[in-house]
Amino acid sequence: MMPKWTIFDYVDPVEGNLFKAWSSCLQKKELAKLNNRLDALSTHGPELIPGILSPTGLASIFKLKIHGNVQLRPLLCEGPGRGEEAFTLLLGAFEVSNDYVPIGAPLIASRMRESLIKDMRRRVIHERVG
Amino acid sequence: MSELVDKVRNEFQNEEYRHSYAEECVNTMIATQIKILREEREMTQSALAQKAGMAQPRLSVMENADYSNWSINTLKRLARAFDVSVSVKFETFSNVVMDFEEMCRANLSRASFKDDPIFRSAKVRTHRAFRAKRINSDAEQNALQGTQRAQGTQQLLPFNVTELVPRRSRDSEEYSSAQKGAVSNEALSSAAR
Repeated sequence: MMPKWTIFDYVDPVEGNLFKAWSSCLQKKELAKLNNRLDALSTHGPELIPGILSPTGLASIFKLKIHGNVQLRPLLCEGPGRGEEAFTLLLGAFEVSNDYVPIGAPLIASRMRESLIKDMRRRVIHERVG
Repeated sequence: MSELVDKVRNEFQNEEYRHSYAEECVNTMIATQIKILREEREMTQSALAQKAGMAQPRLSVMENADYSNWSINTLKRLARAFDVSVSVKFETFSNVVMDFEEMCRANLSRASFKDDPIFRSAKVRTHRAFRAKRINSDAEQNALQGTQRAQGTQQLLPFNVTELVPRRSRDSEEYSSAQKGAVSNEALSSAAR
């Protein structure tokens, strides 16, 4: 079965692929859960699996809720190209005591999305860390 | 064969990784199947919760890919509410990953007893023949798998011998016959040796 949806990583003009750097710091167990969720998203899209995307309170910015000893909250957006079946991973974040780490993560992700819309070259096909 | 299996092949060499990944697959498949079965029966979460003897908020939490705290008793209660049975089996990682990859409404859909085609039909003799055919087919598949392991190929068969979530589409006589045909004579004679 071919993946239906393409997953991209946002690339910061100065710091590069921050999502890949964030993923590289995760333990195997957390990494497995993260990769599973991304595989689910790319294979089945956002419709089939209930609750795969959670809202963040900011329009167009979603989070993946990955439970465990460390609460992963990768932030992403759909597209953002018009009509494309894609998601872009914007920022790797954690949830600690009901707060995002880094603080204000959805807002940071939203700015990244805006910057990406202005220059769509600021993303690469998702670089998987296994 | 399976793009997802190829994708995770190296990653699965790590024990912790493969167990965590497979657990997530199972959690996601159960949550998705509950939602699909509920929608097929045109039930609201409240109606299903009431039928299963649980609170609606609890069901809402279960109908979410994040939920992981499953118990067999809870699954039995939901099965009763859907008028289906629960099948809990130990499974190979490859089958779990392939089931996860092939997950779709049709594969997760299950008829309740009153709509079960086997029980609706009076052609008992035909069904007995069908079951016997399936058993023979399974035996051939097992023999072939054994041979492949002995040869150290690690090559996976294009079908499952046992299934965590039996696939309706694979449960048909046509599928069984097609797979039977797919097993070559050479492979079978090699298995017999």
